[in-house]
Amino acid sequence: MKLRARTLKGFFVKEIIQILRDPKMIFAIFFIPVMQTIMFGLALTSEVKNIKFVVVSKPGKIAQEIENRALASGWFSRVEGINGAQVEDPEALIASHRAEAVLVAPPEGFEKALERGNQSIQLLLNATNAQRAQQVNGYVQQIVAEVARANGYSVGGGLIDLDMRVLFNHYMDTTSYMVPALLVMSTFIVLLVVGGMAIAKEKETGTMEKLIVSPCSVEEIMLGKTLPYFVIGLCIVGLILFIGVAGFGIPFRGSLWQITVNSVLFAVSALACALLISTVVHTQQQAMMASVLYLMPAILLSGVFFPVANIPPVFRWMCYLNPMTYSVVNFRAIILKGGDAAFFWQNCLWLALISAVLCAAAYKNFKSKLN
Amino acid sequence: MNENDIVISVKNLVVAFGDFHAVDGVSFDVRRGEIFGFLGANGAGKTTTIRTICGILNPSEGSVTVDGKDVSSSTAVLKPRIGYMSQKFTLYPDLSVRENMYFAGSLYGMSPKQIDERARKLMDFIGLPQRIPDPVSHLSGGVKQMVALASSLLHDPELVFLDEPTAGTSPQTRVAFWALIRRLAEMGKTVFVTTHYMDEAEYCGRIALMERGKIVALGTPQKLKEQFFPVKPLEIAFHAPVQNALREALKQAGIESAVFGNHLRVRVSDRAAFERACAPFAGQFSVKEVEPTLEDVFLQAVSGREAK
Repeated sequence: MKLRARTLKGFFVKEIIQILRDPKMIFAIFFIPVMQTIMFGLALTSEVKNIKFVVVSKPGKIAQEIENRALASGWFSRVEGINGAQVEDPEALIASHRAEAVLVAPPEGFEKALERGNQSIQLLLNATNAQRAQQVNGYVQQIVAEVARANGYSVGGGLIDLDMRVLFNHYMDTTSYMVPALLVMSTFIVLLVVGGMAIAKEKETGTMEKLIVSPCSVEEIMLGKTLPYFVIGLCIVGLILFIGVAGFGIPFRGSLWQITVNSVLFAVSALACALLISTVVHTQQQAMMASVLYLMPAILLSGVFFPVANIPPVFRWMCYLNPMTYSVVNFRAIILKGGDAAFFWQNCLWLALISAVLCAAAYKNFKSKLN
Repeated sequence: MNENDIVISVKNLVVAFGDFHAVDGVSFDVRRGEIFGFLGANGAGKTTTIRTICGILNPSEGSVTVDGKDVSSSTAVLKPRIGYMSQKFTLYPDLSVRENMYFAGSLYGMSPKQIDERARKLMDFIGLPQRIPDPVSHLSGGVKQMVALASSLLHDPELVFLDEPTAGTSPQTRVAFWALIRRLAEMGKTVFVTTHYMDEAEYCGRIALMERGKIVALGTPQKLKEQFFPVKPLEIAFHAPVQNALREALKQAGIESAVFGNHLRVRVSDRAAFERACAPFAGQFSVKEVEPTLEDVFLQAVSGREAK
């Protein structure tokens, strides 16, 4: 192991100058991850909203109250130009995509049906998206039950009266849930792509020869080429975190040191992947291709968008081999829940283990390729 | 020749990539302070030989020693003594000359002060101004090559390897570059240079001609000329349009000739036979002896080998 401070400093200064001198690099490194996190954080909400809802019933107090309550909840929206009292074929509303949920009162009206109890009320749903339809169903049931209770009817049997307490994310705001994960994802992408290309660039332009004939060691080349990106990675995390907390009001309940430890570990794992890729490619284009091929499954199997618990066990082991997975759960836990120590260290341990294996593989490959 | 004079000693070197022998059993010695030229076409194995001596490639067979030390096992000791200017352009185009120097120096563990000092001397040496603020990509091809040379000399190596340093540069740059190479040798550095410009090889102390992984000739330019041309070639100039007829006559006498512009070049071993073949054209041409060029030597060496 040979590491000289002067050589590492030389690499660091050189890489930073090269990045700062290239506007495209600054754009790719700082602007893209920040934009990605903000844009996806706001756009990719799994909350069910904007449900076009029609109550089909002859005019009555309950029907009116259901409709008002639904609209007031913020989940539902009115379908313009349709009067619930005059609809003849409720199914046609769904078929024509004019409404997504249609609540149909029995011919005698809601009041009569509720008085008798047990009378079912029909709810028509567009279930092309099954997950969404189930949520809509839940919302409507809740609203109907609330209205019924407010008017003194007893709603036994069919509906269970849940007493729900929302922990950690009080407004059930998906932005708060997504930003910590997107932060990990975008930083990982930048480090993998830019880090991988940085070494491929030396090979492609021939400057690698200069490094090889010089007395600098494999460790110095590997560390010298990745250290600048490591620092940049931590800066990106800080920047996004700042924007998320200051700009979007994401609750930050954890401690900075936990964030730092986790960021260090996942930056190392991303750069180890980048090094590994750069040992097998010869040009920047190949490095780019390899990164993309790796990133696609790594992102989908990391829990950023689809909970790992939902993934069938046959494929779940891939999530557990993915360094992004541990960082995603850890970041969410630290930022939203304040970071339980045991849970934090358990994830850090796995992350450290994976990083160590990746580093060792990259080192071994690098060494054998250079000799 | 004193044993101590030998710096680089290559013995039966074979470098194989799979079945392909890029270098196929090459042996030679390089003496301290000489300009050793490596000549040959692209793909002859020059670069592979250099890269093996510099420790970038490992020999498949044979040995390469520098000052008696095996290069593949003592890279740590030898690397700081070697300066290598690759065929590829190894400066960072987006960095300035100074920034490039700083990085190159840091690879050798030099302090910023040492780098500044050496860079100042080297910029003087290559005759460029001290401060060139532009990124290297803005410089002209010739200046780039000069800077690349300076960068490879930054750590003051004793052995300087230049792989096709003048490829693709202007004639002026080539002349200037060779002046620098001579000055390096005067400073006591051993310079190992490859080229495929035959005229440049004349500047070398000794040259090795390489062809398909083998050395086909080795010696001083003068020695090689004498070795391959014991009799100097003749050049025939014509006063009348009898060039083709004379060529035909020579051919029938078993003498090969080559067309050089308006002239004809002949290699004659049997002067009497030549005189007889030329007799019918008396007065229509004139003959003079010429100095063989290294190109002639190269062609001769290669064709001689092919004949074998």
